[in-house]
Amino acid sequence: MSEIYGLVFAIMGMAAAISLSGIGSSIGIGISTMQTAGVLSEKPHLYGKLFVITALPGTQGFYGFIELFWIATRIGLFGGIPKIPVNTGMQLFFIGLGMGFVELISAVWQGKVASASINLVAEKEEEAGRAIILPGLVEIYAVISLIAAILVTTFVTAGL
Amino acid sequence: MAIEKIKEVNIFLSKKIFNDFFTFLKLQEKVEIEEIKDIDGLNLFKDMDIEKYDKIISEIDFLLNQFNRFQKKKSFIKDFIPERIDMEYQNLESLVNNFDFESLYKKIFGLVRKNEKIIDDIKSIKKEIEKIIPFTNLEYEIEKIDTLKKLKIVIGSLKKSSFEKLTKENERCEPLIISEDSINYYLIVAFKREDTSFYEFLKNIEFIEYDFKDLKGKPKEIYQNLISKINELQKISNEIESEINKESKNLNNLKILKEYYIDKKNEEETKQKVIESKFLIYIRGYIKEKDIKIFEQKIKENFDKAYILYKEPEDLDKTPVSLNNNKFFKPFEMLVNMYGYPKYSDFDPTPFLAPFFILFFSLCFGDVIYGLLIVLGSLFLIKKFNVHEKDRNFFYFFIILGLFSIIVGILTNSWAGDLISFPKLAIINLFEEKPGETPGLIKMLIFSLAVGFITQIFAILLKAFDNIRKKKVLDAIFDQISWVISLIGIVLYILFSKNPSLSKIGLYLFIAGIIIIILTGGRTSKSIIGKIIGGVVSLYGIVSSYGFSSALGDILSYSRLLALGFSTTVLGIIINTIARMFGKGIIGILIIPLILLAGHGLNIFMGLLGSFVHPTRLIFLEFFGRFYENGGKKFSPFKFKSEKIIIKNQ
Repeated sequence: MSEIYGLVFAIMGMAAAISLSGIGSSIGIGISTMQTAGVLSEKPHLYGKLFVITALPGTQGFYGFIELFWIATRIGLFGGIPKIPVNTGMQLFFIGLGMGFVELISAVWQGKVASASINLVAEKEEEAGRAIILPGLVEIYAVISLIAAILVTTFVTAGL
Repeated sequence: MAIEKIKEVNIFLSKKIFNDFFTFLKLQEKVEIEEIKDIDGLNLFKDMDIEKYDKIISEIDFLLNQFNRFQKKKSFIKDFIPERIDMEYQNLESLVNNFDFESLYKKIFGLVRKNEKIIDDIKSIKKEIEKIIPFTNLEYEIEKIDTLKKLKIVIGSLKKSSFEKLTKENERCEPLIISEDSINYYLIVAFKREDTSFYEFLKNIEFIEYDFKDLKGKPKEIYQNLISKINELQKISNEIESEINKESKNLNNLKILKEYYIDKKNEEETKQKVIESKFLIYIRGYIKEKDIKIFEQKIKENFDKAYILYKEPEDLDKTPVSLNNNKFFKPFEMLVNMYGYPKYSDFDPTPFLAPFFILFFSLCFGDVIYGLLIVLGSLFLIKKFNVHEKDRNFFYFFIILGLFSIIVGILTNSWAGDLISFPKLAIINLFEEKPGETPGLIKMLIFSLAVGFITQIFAILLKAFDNIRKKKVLDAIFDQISWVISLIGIVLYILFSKNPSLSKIGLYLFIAGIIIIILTGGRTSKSIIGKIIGGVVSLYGIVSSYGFSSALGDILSYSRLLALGFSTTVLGIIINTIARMFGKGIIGILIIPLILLAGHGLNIFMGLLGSFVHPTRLIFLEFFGRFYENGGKKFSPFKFKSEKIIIKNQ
């Protein structure tokens, strides 16, 4: 019986990772896209330059996806219905949840920084290179939480 | 591979030859002109005519706007690649002189005004048509409707909801509905002429009276007349449009014309930087040392009344900086340019940052097939769009990075994720996990941190080198060498914890370094207590720019190399897994290529983004933070100012 709950917890962990990061990225991209749309109404030729900056807060969603995939691979979900101890399942749940929160909040803030960067490019087109770097400063924490999640996932599933 | 030697150049010449000389200077593209502010009692050159060029540029813009309407839209990719035209200045001048801009402008301006008027007319006729359409059933001549002596007859529209109010007054009036739509009745209303208050009543129920005073005949005829009038006007308008379109063959020449005048305007504006007296002009600026010979020779050939003095620049902070790197390092100047140029007295960081940037990028992006696609894609774009030599560095940048990504891809067994696999070629396999051995992921993490450690040591050594170069040897030993010793000591101590003699060496190195730091960290402080406290605190990097907290943070920051490399590979694997789910049937054959193409395309885009942004940050913050200061001004010689036209050097 307990093995079934283990899987349920693991799936909850995957759900937390993918949903929180997805929510974050959609809010973040939403913020930056609105800014881009506004700038494009005045300066349509900036589309190419702004597109890249606008897309930056989207990476968090993919980090969540990677963590989901990593948990699924580690517990052997692709090979059928795996049996997982409850404690392992709960561990995976908390990893997914914690990681998801970082992705969520960093994506929202990255969206805000990206929209400020977009304003910078709108004012000074030649600053596009530097403007791309600024939202990257927020992304570090999303990246770090991804590394941490991947490593800890690897450790707690080592015996499966 | 360094910062170019620059000389200050002072030019004196007779005012008579000033204009010719200035254009000559522009075409030479060798001298940066400095605005002279520090000499009192002399006047800056004033005799310019900038407004003239402003006017003609705005006129050209007007024509360009007209002609651009007939142009095809550029493709998304082509938008990225700047348009360049190679030209000789004489050809440009003769093109400008032979181009009859004045009459073209007058002609197009006239046509456009005429067309605008016609379009206005069409609009007002359309309004009339809208008014007359509901009454086309009416078989009376419209001008004869309101000609009775005792009865006043009005034509108009009324909201259906208000119609009841009108019928209540049926003793005073006689409405006749001609047609209706979902909201309004279109009707004529007859009432006694002397009943003037009825007008008020009509207004109150929001009856809208239509005025057809200018029209004559039956509504149907009027309607047809108006339609044919519109068609006629439309025809004329189309003719005008096609006439404008015919002239849009001048578009390319106009663009060149615009560049010419923009440059002329810039030339006039630059003249404000020089000093004039009654007979003389004084120009001050900077020139690269290696250009002096050719420059002198050219001047001798063309002008005999110009005197030139060269001298070493005095204010090194203000001296403009020009970087000189070979073909391999040149593309990486882009990063230095982004962060800010070094000062003239400092050194060029390009050759030092390039290997690290390449390493970081290829660790993040590292995939054989993706790397190959980047290289081939860059080559293809250069060929396809015939990219001008000036813009090719950007593509060379990605070709170099792509090549190294291929190497890293082979070493970590990443071939578009796991599309194909050659585990025997790999050194570290990220997904490898054997009992009793360190997992591949951890190996990669350790490797990333090791890269970070080496980068940090290298960066601190660069600072030491810079200090020694500036003859501050003691600073180099106290502030940098001490840190290098203690950091290496710590790492030796941890690495060789099983070998007591080696780990002891590590420990001693560490302690030696620490002692130097504590003894010297507070040396700028005056009191002895201040010196001691300063020394201890500088261990943590609170007073000085470096300390254990920042060392630890900086080195851990390099773990992102693992994360980004891993996420590129895993996303690739996810895409392959999804594709493989469709099996080998007909559906599989049809769908799998689509999934692979779209999925890996997205992954390459995201990977490029991340692999550019994060290594750049590692360079700017963790690497530059240790040794590099920007603040230099880029050397920008006075030259033909244009995005599009490249003047061939004669």
